Amino acid sequence: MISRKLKDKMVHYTFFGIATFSVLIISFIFIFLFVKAYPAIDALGTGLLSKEWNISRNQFGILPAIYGSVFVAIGALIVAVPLGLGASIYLSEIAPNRIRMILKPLIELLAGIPSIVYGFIGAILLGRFLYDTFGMRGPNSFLAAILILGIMALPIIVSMSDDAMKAVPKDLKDASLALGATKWQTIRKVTIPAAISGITSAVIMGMGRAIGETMAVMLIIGSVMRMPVPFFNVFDTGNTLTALIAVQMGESHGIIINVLFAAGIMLFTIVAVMSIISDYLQVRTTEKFEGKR
Amino acid sequence: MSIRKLLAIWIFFVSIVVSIIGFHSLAVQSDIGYWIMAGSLILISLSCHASGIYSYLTKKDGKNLMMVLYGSVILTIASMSFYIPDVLDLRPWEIYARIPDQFFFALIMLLVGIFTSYLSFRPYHNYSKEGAQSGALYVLHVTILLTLLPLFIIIFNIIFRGAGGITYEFLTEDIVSMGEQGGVYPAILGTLAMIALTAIIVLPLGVGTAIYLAEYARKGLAVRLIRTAVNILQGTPSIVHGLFGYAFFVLIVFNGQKCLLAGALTLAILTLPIVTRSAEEALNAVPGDLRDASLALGATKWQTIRKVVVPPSLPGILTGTVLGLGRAAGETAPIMFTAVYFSGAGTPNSLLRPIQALPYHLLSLYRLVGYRDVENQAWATALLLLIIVLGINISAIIVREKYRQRF
Repeated sequence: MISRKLKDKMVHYTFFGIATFSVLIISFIFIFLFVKAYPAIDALGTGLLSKEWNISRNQFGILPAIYGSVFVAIGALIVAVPLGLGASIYLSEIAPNRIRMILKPLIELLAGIPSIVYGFIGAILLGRFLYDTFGMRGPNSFLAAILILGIMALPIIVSMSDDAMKAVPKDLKDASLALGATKWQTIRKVTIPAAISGITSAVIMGMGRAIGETMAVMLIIGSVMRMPVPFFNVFDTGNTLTALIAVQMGESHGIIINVLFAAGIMLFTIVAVMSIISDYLQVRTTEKFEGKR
Repeated sequence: MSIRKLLAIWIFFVSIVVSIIGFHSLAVQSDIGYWIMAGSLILISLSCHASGIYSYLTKKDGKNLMMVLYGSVILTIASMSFYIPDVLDLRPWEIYARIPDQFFFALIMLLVGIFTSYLSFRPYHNYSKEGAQSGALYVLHVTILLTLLPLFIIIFNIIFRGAGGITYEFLTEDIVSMGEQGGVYPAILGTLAMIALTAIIVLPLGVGTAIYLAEYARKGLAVRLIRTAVNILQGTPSIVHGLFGYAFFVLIVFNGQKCLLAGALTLAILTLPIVTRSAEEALNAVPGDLRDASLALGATKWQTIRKVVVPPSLPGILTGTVLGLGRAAGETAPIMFTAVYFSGAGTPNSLLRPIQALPYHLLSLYRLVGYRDVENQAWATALLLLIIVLGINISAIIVREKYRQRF
């Protein structure tokens, strides 16, 4: 018979073992992406980061895709941040409890719609709509991708900044109101500054989602491997890292597969750095307020 | 009610109507024409002038003149827009697009309308701080409406275009002639089998990690590392999961064979952080007093966790798991290289054989739109996918609201 104490210790280590799984998976992802990407890095070197993509001449520069990813993500933020901030201020500070209980699940539903459905709607409805309005070369464009990604980033930004503003201690707000400030002045001068690192973290997560989004983007971006001309041209077609991988993976072989894994590493690194920053900001917010209590 | 307030209300309603007209013509691409746009702007502008001048005459205060100034700005916009060309062709600047004047007209009406209705709260409250507050609240209401608008557009369109395609045949047959006929029966079964398998894999891992983080973890390097790993995993793009699943599960574990188990393992990695985080939250919600009471009675830590901490947090854990599975059911990128074929896989009968799944079915149908007559089938698939995913989400949300705040 093992003693109760020993059994308890064993349970402890079992759970520790399970918990290390996440660390293990992260390292596995990185290792396996790197192993598969290595032939491309070895053969192409810095040629990987050039902007020339020409399969027949063996040029595989993924710079246009990196640029496209950043471009659509920034564009999506320009669409989503003003709307998302307004909506989260409304939800956390103004909406009566009854309305909040209806709206919050609705916004979660917006987050729950599968990305392939967004892509399908974006390609069939939005793409054709923009094509009719602006008469581009075809229904695919950066503009369509930016609008759809903006909509997809909204729920994350709304719910995370809502949490951040809810976390601001009520004492702070009450003190401001007691000094005769209006509700709006309190929001502007007390709540938002206090919650700013949480809000920033929400925006970064929204941007991470926009950069990492695949299915919605690959159906409307056009998957053309070149930079938009001029560089801010939202009516042009282009490519993103995610769309490049998703489209090429099925129909390529040889070194292109390795190039795609290199693109995957690029993507993984960008998004991982963003989640670490966002997480740091969030931890800082909670520590700030717990220290004050 | 004073004339000042009446004028403010008048401005508010006129601008609301103008912005709605602008929005409508933007959405349906109709041409409102220059004169209707200019006329409505002139109407708003005159109202602003009247409001400003009246306030100034009754009370000689400089800020009352703000409305006059703004009215003049609108008048300038109205006259300047006369110079908007019929079609603004961007091709000389190497941008292949042309913007018709009706787009500018609609945009101007929308923006001016929203801004003026926002501004009209100031004279209504006699330029006090309450005026600024009500104006800001009004704008916040507009943003929440705009945030929810896409949800309604998407759901409305999918229901109306997809409902006709959902027939008995569609639900019970396999694909016939590249999806033009037949249905999605194997894909439905495939999706359900995959998320069931994912649940079996992810539950012990996710809940175990959460129990460690919530109950055992002290501050230290290992715990920091685990938390960071969970957070990174949560942000990892789904296509990266797909690449990893292909490189590891398919190529190495299953000898190059796409199969149900490889897809479920990949999806389990995708849902692991979601399950972990929500389970940890649920465990943390159990008050510390309960744990202390149990330990004081002589129970071991493991007995306390099993008998005291886990039972009340089960609804929370289940909600998180179900939300994660809802996400998994709709994902395409992680399974497209690891588990699915568009057709030919049939109903799932082995863990080591490929399957068909709804999200991938929708993607494949979309790729055939234009070549084959599959658009109605695609809408029906989208509706079915939406029903399954949102159904899962809604049931999870209902469970959560029902068991919320038991302590």
